[in-house]
Amino acid sequence: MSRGSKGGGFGHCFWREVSRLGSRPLYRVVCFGVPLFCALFMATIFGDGQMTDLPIGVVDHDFTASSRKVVRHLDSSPTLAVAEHYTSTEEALSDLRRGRIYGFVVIPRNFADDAAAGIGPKIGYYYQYALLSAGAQVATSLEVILKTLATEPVVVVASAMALPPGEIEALLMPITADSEPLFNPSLDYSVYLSLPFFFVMLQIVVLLLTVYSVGEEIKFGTAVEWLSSAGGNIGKAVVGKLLPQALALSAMALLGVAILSIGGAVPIGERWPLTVLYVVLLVVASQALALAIFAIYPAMGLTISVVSMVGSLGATLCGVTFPLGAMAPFVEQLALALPIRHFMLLLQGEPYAISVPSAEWPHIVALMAFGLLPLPLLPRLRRAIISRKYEEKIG
Amino acid sequence: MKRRLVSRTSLLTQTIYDEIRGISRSLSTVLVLLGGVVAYGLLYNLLYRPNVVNEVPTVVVDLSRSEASRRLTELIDASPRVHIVESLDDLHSAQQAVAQGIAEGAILIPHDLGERLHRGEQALFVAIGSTNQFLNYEAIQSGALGAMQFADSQLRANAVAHLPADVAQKLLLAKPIEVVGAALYNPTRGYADYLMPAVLVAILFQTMLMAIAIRTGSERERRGLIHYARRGTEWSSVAIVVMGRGVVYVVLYAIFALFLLGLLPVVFDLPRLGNPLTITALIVPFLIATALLGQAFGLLFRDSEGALLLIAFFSVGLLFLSGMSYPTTLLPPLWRAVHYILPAPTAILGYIKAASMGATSAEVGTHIATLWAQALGYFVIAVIMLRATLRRVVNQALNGQ
Repeated sequence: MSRGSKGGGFGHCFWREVSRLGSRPLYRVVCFGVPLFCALFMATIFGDGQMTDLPIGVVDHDFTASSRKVVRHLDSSPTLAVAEHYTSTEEALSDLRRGRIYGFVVIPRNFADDAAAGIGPKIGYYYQYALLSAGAQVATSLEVILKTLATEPVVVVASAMALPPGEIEALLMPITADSEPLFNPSLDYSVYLSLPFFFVMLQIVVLLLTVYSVGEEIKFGTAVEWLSSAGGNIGKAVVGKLLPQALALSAMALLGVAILSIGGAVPIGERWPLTVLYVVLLVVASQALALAIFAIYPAMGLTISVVSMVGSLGATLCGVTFPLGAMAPFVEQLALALPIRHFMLLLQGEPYAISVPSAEWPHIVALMAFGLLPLPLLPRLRRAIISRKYEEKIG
Repeated sequence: MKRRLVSRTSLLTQTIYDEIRGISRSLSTVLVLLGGVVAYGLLYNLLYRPNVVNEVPTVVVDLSRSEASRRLTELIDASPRVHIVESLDDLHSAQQAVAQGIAEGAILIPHDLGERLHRGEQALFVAIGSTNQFLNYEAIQSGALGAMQFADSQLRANAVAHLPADVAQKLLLAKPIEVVGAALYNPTRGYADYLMPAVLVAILFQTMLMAIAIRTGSERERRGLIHYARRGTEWSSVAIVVMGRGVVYVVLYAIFALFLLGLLPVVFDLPRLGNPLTITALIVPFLIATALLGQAFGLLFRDSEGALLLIAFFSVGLLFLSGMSYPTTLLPPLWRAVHYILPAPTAILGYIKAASMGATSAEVGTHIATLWAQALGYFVIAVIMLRATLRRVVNQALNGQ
């Protein structure tokens, strides 16, 4: 068995790897603990996914029933909560910079008097986009509430003249726009981010585990034994080693999808068999990419650093946050070098079911093609194992 | 007494010297340090350089085919956020266009828009966008709202004309409240301006943890720890070793921080409202806390690469924990606790407040205090862990293993 081609075989190599994965705490943590952690993290980090009661401040220089009514209006919005009252704009600004409030409203002196005199009183509102998503929520809510409030003097006059509500509306806003957010009608933060970023994290885990598990054999001088457990056949050795990992990580990925759908974050719908296929394809394609990079330079220390950097780019290049089409011209094509980009296009086409299958095929084929990537490099990997050139001399 | 002081000073300088030599000998540590910091710093800035999503390709489904609908289409197209690529006859073709990637969304103008306006009734149009790409959806929505507000301001006088003269007169006299809003920080809603400050701090954190873990791990592999154990395992010696190694990483990363947080924001025109002293007051305890956390964390691994498996995947998680995208007050209690325990989330939020909003040292005082508390906590943990490890190493050596 120890001398190579006899005695070993695919099954032997497979079970050898299963026992390695089971016996070392690090492998158990990375194969099972980390994917589970990622799923639980992404399922819970955004609370219920709706930004509610975002704290805002009020600088009320008027102190009248009218100004208090403005405050009540603001507070009644589910998005906003009037958390602080200030006597000066400077105080409000300071708290905005501290992050205690996300915006504030300034009601000037004489607000009520001006309204009564028909002079057209003013209200100012201020917000920030440095914390973009919360800032945008606050800005939109403030605008909607205050602009509605702004028309009140007109509504009062119109109602007094017994104009029907429909006509008053048409008067104030002759044209109105409705928005229809497809596939995520409640604009839930977790639907938008949880599932994609679970897979962004998982992809990094797959890439690094592949490099680590193969690299460790070479580095600590067990690679020859690994190769002979597969009867000296590098193809069998690689598949025998990576298959148990692929099974474990695919299973954990699907468990992750299940956890995320319990939280309601995943609109998988009836196309779940495709989801299973895509997840397996992502795992195997990522393994293949990592193996190919490793085979080019089979010294783990350097290669694992390179692969961790490539993997981290997935968060940007999967295209979920900033549209790749809006980036530099070559970026959209460059992103196709990462399995996660293909997977994300499939995933987004899938639960949302608008993408026609013909648009999905190229990405399925591409993910499969990643599997061929290491093939020409396998002889090189075999030589690296046999030469023992990349082993570390432990002193 | 004096001799003891001398020996401690020499232990400190010896530790610092050993650590510098160790880093310079290990290719992968150097790659993480330089590659990670310089390449990431430049690459992410270049990727997010466009900053704002504009001219999002959109189709219009104009069922009204009226003067008013043509005017509305022109107004939407005139918005910098939206580019109308095609006018289609039905919603199905619009869906096709979106599926084929020709457009990111659609504007639907119902058949009765012109007539309703003519009759003085409220008219409606719909902005439809796929939320797969949230920023595209947001651009279409904002383009549609802008066009709506402009159209309304022009049409209002018209609408009054439908009413009897005395009613119209009174209505025109009723002044609405004047509402003025302004964005004070990042007014252009720049995505790079929002994301990059956080990413730069996260790069410092992640690469420093990796570099320290690689170094600590390779020492375990090479039995390099026995070297430290020989110099004594009493508390004070161990504390000096932890400090000495910490100093090396803090000084090295002070240079990297200068590059990432000092130079790159100038080169790429990122928000720079922060007072350099405030940013220094924030980043120094952050680097110290991270260097100590890295030493403690690295001791959990017996080889130099194992730790990477547990560090690299979580970069995005750090951004979520920071509260930059989803408010810390809305995070579940467990994750809010983690926000205060890990140096990166605390520092990211503090740095955004300082650099992007110009917060003063007092205004980010809680962040600075939290980071110092973390530094103290991780120092104690690192010393305890290193001492336990060294004693184990000594025992193994005595037992001849």
